[in-house]
Amino acid sequence: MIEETKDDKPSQVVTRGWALLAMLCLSPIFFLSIYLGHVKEGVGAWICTGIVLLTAKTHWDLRKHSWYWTVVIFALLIQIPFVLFVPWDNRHLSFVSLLPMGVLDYAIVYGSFKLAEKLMSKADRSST
Amino acid sequence: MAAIAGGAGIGDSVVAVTLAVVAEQESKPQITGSTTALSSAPCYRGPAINAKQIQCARQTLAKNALGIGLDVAGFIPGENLAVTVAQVGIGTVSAVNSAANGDSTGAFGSIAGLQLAALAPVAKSAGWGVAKSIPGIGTILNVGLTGRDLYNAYNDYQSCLAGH
Repeated sequence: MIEETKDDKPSQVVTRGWALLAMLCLSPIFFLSIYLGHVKEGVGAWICTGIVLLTAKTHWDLRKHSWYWTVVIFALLIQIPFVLFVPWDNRHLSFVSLLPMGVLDYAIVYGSFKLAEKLMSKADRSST
Repeated sequence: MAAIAGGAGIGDSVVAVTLAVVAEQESKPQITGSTTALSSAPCYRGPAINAKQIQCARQTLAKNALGIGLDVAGFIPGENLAVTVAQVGIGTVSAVNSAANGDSTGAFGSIAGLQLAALAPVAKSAGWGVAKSIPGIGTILNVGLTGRDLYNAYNDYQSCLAGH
């Protein structure tokens, strides 16, 4: 399990169990893609949405700001290249093979949240 | 019909019509025979379908066992040294499998992934923010790929049964 450190609030802690539950809740994306006949894109969309959800969870204490939800929408939009261009249908790829891609995607979304947070706190300071 | 034309009684004509109908039915023995043959057919088709199912299940298992096995191994709970070693093992098997099948993207991805999996505990202890989330990212990827592999296995089985 991902251990809670001193600077983490309970709402921001992401465990393996939480990730499993999130993927279970997002599974309709996968089943819908099977129904529509786009399984490759469906698997990608399922995984990428899970990563956005995981990152959003780590910044959950900022959910009352409107920019938080703007970043969530932006993060969902930047998943489109990942969904379309990563070879999700390659049977030789295990989760370890796709870990670099997953970490890169997470880093981009995480960076977007951090950047927005910095910009907004600067704007707040300058207005006061 | 000849009896009716000859002016016989109603009783005689009924007997004559009945006899004519019976004679007409008896003149088509091949229809009755083929119906009997169809009704006995499922007795012979049953074992053949079972043999095909077993053969297809074996074929599907042979094709998908490694992928599903690696997915299942990825669900090992915990975050200690044993789990890290297991993940490095999965990465190594995955890299060898990709290389053996001529998939360079998969091979390089696996090598990079096993290094990340091995470095994750070190990075986490160093306090790197992204490293804390690597097990969560791994779980998300593993769930997605398990779903894909199970669906592929089901598809392989169905197409084998259909004779493709």
